[in-house]
Amino acid sequence: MAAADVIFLVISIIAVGAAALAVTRKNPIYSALFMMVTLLVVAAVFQMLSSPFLAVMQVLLYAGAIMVLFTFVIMLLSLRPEEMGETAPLPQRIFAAVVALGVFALLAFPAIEPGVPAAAASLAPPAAEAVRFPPAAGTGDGATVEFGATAYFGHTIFGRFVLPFELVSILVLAAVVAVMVLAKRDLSKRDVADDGSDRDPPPLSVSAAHAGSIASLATSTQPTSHGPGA
Amino acid sequence: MIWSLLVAFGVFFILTNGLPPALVYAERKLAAGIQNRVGPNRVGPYGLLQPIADAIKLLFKEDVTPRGADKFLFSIAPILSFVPAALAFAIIPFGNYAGEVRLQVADLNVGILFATAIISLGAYGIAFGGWASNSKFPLLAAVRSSAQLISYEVVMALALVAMIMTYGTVRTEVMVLAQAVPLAETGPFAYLPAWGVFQQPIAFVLFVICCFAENNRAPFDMPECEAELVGGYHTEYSSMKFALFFQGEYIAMTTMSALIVTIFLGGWHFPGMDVADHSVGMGILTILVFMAKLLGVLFFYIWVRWTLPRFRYDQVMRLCWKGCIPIALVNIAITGIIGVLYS
Amino acid sequence: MESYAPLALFAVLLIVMPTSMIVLSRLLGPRRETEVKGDPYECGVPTWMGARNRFSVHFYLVAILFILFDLETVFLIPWAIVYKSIGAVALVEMGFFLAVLGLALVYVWRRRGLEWE
Repeated sequence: MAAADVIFLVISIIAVGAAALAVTRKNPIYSALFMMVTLLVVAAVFQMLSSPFLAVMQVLLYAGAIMVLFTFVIMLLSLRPEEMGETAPLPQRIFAAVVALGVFALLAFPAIEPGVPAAAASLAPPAAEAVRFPPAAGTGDGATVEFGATAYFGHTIFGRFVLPFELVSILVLAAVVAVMVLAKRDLSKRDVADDGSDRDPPPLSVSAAHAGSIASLATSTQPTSHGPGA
Repeated sequence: MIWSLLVAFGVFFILTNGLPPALVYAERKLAAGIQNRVGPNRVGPYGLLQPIADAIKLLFKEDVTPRGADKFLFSIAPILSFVPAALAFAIIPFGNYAGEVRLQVADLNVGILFATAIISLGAYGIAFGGWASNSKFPLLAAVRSSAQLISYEVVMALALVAMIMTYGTVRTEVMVLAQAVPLAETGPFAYLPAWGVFQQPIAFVLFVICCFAENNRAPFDMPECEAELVGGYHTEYSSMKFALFFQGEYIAMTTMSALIVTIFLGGWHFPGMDVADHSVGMGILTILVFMAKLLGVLFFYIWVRWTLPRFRYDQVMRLCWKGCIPIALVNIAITGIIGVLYS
Repeated sequence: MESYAPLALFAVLLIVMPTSMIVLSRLLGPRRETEVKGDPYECGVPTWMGARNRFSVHFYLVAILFILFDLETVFLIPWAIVYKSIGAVALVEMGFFLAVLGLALVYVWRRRGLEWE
């Protein structure tokens, strides 16, 4: 086995192992932690496939943004220990298993299909090659860039895939509206007092005033302030 | 090969064990000066050994873990906040060449993006630290601080986009070279170097604001505002784990300052130098120039902390979402239009 | 692979150092656990209200908005590199994208989603 194969084997085992741990942990924050490990390892796979830009974006967007959101939600819900580890009802688990197997089959299909080029069968990373982009619609003079580099993605997105790219913005707009609608339903509870809906205890807002009122219970603030000489 | 490994080791040592004690001392002395006090003056001449005494003291202190805390997360949180801050420094070119050796730990073709990606992982240290403590003040601080970090991360990325547009590259060493030319061919600006701060003043201001916010430094020290949240996310931490948070913060400050120097202040370049000169002597000179700029920015950090009062939390968030983000977007639009018109 | 060796060394050193320092302080420091010492900090009074409380939905809103804007920068970065070589077309392409996202920001702003009261 080549060195690249060994590295791939090791990181694959880490990825699958961490994914398995993410699914089986009872404490959601550990699930988030192991999922983060999986996502970081996938970034390493991208790097091995000569796509450094994709690898960095994987870290930035998935490990750095989406998992932060997950962690955030876990912190915001702040489950007490007795609330954790409730297992889903059996039909739901069967359904989840079927969906997971289906996705796996879908992903595994190209790998076992005979039509895959022999080159892809080797796990060695493809050599980075230069790709020539023609000039876009009349202006500019085109460019020759390395496969997987940032500029490669630039030319691909803003050349061939410009329509999907513009549609993404509409998708994001829809997402923002959805978030606002969902969040506002909660926010407006305070204004509409008697809507008859079941009400949670008031959320512990961490606005300055509120936090201050908690801290004001203290006779004095602890002198372990972080700053030296403060 | 052996030389580049030595460079990596040298950067590691200075970044984690050389600069933080010096910065702690400088911060305490400068704060004392600004507040008309004496500052540390007992341990060693002029109190110079104070940071070392502090480190040794913390090493021998009891490591208390609060009851009900999640032991594993509680222990790895300081490491999670320590590592990303320092790892991002790897892409900083802190000098030109010393002979054959490039003075940079990792010459990646994603350059600056590596730093932003790694810095975005820094939020976990604070989030896990606050959550694992099982104590209300750290949790409040962790939530507040994570929200602040991710908000300003957006601004930082947008400011960076403007700089990437200006330089046309994401590689940090190319960015430095792009700043090593005069700002204009003729006229009064020909005497100025083409540093990022002159080409993109708005992005510079935004980026500096983000650096303060990302490092939780005053005036953005929300997660540890003593008056509201006791010690912030590390209220429950003691001994070496506390020291690691502390050290990590100074390392993060250094990394951010190094980013400012590299992107906006010409990196290791000084006007009049020959970038093609790869001699060892020139290499050492460029390191000294880089260090001088870095220390200048770090001094600014400390100066601001002891001069400005702290923002209120709603002001911090308003400044980000209603101030910085719209300005950054407009800045990108203007940069784009000018860039296309003059290319 | 060789060019990653210094980075790998750097990363390993960075992980080993804090870990060993925590282990070292475990070995060197005293360990005298008492009932009171293990209490979560509560300004000197007995612990009042557990740590696990629910938070304002505002934080969740910020997190979602952050992801959406982060997504935007993911597209902006490759664009920033190639926009000069593509030319004016690139401005139009990104202009539309940014306009829609700007609309999203204005919408949240007008719906008072950015207020912290």
